[in-house]
Amino acid sequence: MRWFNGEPFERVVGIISSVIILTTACVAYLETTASSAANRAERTAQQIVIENMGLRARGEIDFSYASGDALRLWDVLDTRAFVAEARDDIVLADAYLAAREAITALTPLFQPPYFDEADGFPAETRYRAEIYLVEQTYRAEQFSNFSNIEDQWERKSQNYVAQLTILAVALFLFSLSNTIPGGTRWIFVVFGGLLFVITLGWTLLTVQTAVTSLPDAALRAYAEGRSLLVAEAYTEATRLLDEAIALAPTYADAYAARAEAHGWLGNTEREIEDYNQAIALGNDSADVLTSLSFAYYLSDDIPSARQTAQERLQRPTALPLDHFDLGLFALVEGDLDAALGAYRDGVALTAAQVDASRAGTGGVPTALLGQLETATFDLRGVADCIDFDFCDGVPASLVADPAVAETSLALNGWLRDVLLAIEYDQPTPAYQPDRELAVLDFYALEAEQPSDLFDTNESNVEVGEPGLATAPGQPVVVKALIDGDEDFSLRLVTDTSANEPLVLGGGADTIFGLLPGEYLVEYYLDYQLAATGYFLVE
Amino acid sequence: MIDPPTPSTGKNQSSRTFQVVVATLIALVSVIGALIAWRAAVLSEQAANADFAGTVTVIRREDARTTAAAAAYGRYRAFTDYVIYQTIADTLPDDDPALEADRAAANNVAFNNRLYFDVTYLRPGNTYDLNADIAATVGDANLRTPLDPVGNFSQADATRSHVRLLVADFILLAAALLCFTSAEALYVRRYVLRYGLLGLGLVLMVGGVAIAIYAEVGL
Repeated sequence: MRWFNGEPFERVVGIISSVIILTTACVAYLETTASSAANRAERTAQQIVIENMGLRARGEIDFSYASGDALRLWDVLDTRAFVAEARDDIVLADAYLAAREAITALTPLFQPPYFDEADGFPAETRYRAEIYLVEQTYRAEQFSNFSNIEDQWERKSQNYVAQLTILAVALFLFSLSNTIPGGTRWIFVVFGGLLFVITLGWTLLTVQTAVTSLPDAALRAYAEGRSLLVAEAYTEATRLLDEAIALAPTYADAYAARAEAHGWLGNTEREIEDYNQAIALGNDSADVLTSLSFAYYLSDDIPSARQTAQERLQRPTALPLDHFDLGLFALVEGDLDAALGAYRDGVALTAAQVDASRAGTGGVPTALLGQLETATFDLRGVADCIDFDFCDGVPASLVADPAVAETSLALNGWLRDVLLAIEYDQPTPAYQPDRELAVLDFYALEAEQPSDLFDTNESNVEVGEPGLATAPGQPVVVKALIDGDEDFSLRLVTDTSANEPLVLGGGADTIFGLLPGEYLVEYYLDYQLAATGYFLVE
Repeated sequence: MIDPPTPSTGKNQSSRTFQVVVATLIALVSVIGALIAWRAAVLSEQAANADFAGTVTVIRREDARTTAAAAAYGRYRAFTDYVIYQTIADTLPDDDPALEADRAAANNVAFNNRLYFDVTYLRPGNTYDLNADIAATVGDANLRTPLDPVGNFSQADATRSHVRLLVADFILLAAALLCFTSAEALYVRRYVLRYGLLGLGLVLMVGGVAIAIYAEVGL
């Protein structure tokens, strides 16, 4: 039975070519659909990121008014009222208090739930979180989600384009087969047919590959949880992040945020578990590795801490803090050479980043100063644990060797010098392992005997002369750290020629007492730490 | 294998006519396909342009909103000072000569601050309608340049749907091509199949052209 006109081979090849063209048209349609969806997702992601910048800027404008203007003026009026009242000028005090109250109507910062009368001060971080951080975080997550959707559609589209190319090659081979006589043409037919069948299978696989995204409710729960973290409401944050994870069990960022909440709550084991889960799900960001290594340190798993810190340092975005952490981990194991090496690397990186930043934007990122503060806080913790048996936040396996304590203090002094050098644009100082620090005495104003205990009614504490050899005109900086954090309102900047007492506080007229806490006072001469001393305010 | 007998001369003529018609239809389908591909490419470019215009509008809108907020909060700061000094002036007793200078100073500073905010947004209870102030500034910007990107994005989406329809139309045209090629390849005595395929191909081609016209005119 005859089916074709003329040469059947040519006819069959012609029909197959038409089938390939039909398939190509179908793949072209799929490609257009995928590329359309990718374009839409990309556009939405762009729109979200632009809107988010505006949202953040407007949120900061609002917050800046509330905390920088309204709250500051409220505080000024409160102080004026307090001073007027102290001088028995009740009428003026009432006027200031009335003006202070009038301000409270101008921003929600002074309304519940941000303002607690009993506490007397508004919860600024919570206000900031609620006016824009939740929405901003939610949108940032939406942006990631849409970027992810765009990537998936883009991959599909790229696959379809590749398939179209292969189909064109198959078509070309079939066309060639018609021009070649004899058995050779079968090679082209077989090869073309093979390409066609494989491409068809690949197309079906691509069509079946689902485009996945995180549910919107999970993004919202994450954003609220993340903002509560910023507002330091860790238990509530954990509850919301649990919810986000229940809605999206593969939500890596939610695990990382929950790990952070567990860390603040002191659940180090859960913190490590969640960080590892976040890494397993694809969030092996630098922040996650930095936090995980420190969680290992706190849980007394120093080898894992060192290994994770090393991994983190392989990243191009390594921070000075990562070197300092690695040094700290080596230090508690008694590996002093490794510790010193890591701290040297950290200081070198800090200096390089400061230079680059000054050359670029002209300023020094405050984050760099914060990392130095954190590193010195950890070093003091190690020394305090060995010297005074006060071991909060220090692993139990710490090698309680006096050499470790000495090295901790020497490194602490060095990093404090580096910090001050950055603040006052000085050259990076060298490490001085054997530096002797003078001890400071403290006096109540007009008192002749030093004391290391003052009460909160005391408004001023005078820093005694440390008895150092000085020359006229040498710069002097005095810093006061209350429970480890510097109180910048107490910083003194002067020089040895100024013949005035060094007074921590607002001076003789001040009516406000010093804040309670343990005060560590640092005395820098020529931008180098020269003396320290402690006192308590209770 | 012995070939069936060759059809008569008249049948040969008919077969040649058939082949010429089918070849012409194949050429026509190819030309229509090329035209549709050209339109799809042009429309894709238009969709990308509409998306870009929408994104630019989003940037302008955010700029307008943020600038308006910054300016409005500047005025709100003046209003804050106005509230503080007005309250102090109102609270100081006016029967105490010792406080007269303080009261007058507070009153004048308060009054002077009224120059630095828009009193049209003053509301009863010594409040200021900050949102209305911001909205008015954004409204001004909107008058100069439209700030709603929805129109651009809708246009981009509609154009992309148009492109998808045209590309889907290719499938019909490719199917028509397959029908024509098969009809041409079949042995002349397979009348039913040949003419059936030719008819189907014609239906598909006409359908494809109708869809293309609808896409161009109807959408």
